[in-house]
Amino acid sequence: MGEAAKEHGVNEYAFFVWGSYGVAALCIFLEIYFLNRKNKQ
Amino acid sequence: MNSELFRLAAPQAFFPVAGKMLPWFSFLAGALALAGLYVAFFVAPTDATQGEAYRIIFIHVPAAWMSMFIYVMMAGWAGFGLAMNTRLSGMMSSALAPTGAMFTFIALWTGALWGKPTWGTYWAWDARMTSELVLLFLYLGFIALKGAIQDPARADRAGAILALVGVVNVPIIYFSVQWWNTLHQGASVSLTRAPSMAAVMLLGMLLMALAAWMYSIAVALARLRRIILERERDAEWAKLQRSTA
Amino acid sequence: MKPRHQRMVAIGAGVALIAIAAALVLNAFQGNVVFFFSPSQIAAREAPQDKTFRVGGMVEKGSLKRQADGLTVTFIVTDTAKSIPVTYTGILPDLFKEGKGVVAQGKLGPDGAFHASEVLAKHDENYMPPEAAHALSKAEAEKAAKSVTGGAR
Repeated sequence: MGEAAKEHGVNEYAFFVWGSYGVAALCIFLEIYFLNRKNKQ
Repeated sequence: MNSELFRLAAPQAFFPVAGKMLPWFSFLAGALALAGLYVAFFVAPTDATQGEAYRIIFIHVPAAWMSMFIYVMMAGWAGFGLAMNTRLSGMMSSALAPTGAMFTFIALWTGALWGKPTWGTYWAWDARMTSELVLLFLYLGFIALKGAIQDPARADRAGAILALVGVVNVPIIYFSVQWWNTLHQGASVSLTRAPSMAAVMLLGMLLMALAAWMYSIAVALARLRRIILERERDAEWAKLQRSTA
Repeated sequence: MKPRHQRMVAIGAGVALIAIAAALVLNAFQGNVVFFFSPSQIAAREAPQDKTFRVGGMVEKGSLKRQADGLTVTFIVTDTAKSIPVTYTGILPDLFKEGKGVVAQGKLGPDGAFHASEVLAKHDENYMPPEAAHALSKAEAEKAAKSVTGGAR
């Protein structure tokens, strides 16, 4: 991945960084979503 | 002062107080997270050895700190409830558990995605990672055990014992990198010596850690309100509360 | 003592007992918790002889050599006291560098060399911008040069 990614101007670590923050954001979104849904019952 | 605290220990009295505190903590969590993410991605420089991959630290370390701290809080409340026979304490420990489990999962997940580009592997059975995985199972066990017992008083007692037994795992996680040979590096930030990272990087990490704190408090308060209403559903005030909500 | 105080003492004693038990168990399993052995431990024959294990330490500066096939590498892992030669065929992680930490998994060969099947980079807990790292290494080089001239005098 390394050299090819650099040529295309994409950081070679982008997958790992966005994979981390993306899943963390998804977890937080899901927690808040389920909390509000259960509150309404 | 003391009598005021005792009054708040009643679920009925704490319910509106939690409701009033909730928006403040939510606002602080959002504001601090925005500031932290801005520093993390736009202000903090690239790391000399790890390049951009190190930016995972801004979510990984705060999540790992929270995963341990929430467990200590959860076990503390559970133990307090066991000793003092207070109803609210058991509810507080229940309110904290899912958030703690979520932060543990985030710490493990981001750790795996950080390990691959730096160490060369997603996972290794070293002491730090294994004990953090045990922490996730302790959280899940606590949630499952409490969910499996119908009577709330008995559920609180059983959960408290599990939480207190598991609390020995927290110092094991924290000190594992000092006690044993591990793949995981030592702590960059500790109370005993100066942090071994550039000031701007440290600022970003501390902002994110504060945001995680505020988020945890906000979510735990919201979940506590839900648990209070559930457990007190036969009380007149709770019926009234539900009809107006 | 009130019953709630009695319960508090009982819970405190319970947690203390569990902590002691955990400490004893961990102490007994100390050897199994070790993720890697240092070259000194291997020299002292503390590492398993015929089984797979991991060796950890620093990649000695100037020791990394690439074989003719382009994939096989040899390097020396050191803990400053003892060192061990390692051979490995495969792709090295990005952070693998001379003078940096490494953990290799494999077996000890009859030739005394360590034949690795997996090589992981072990980095430290220092984070700094490249300029700071550059300034730091320059300062260290100057310090080293000074001590050499100081010794000559």
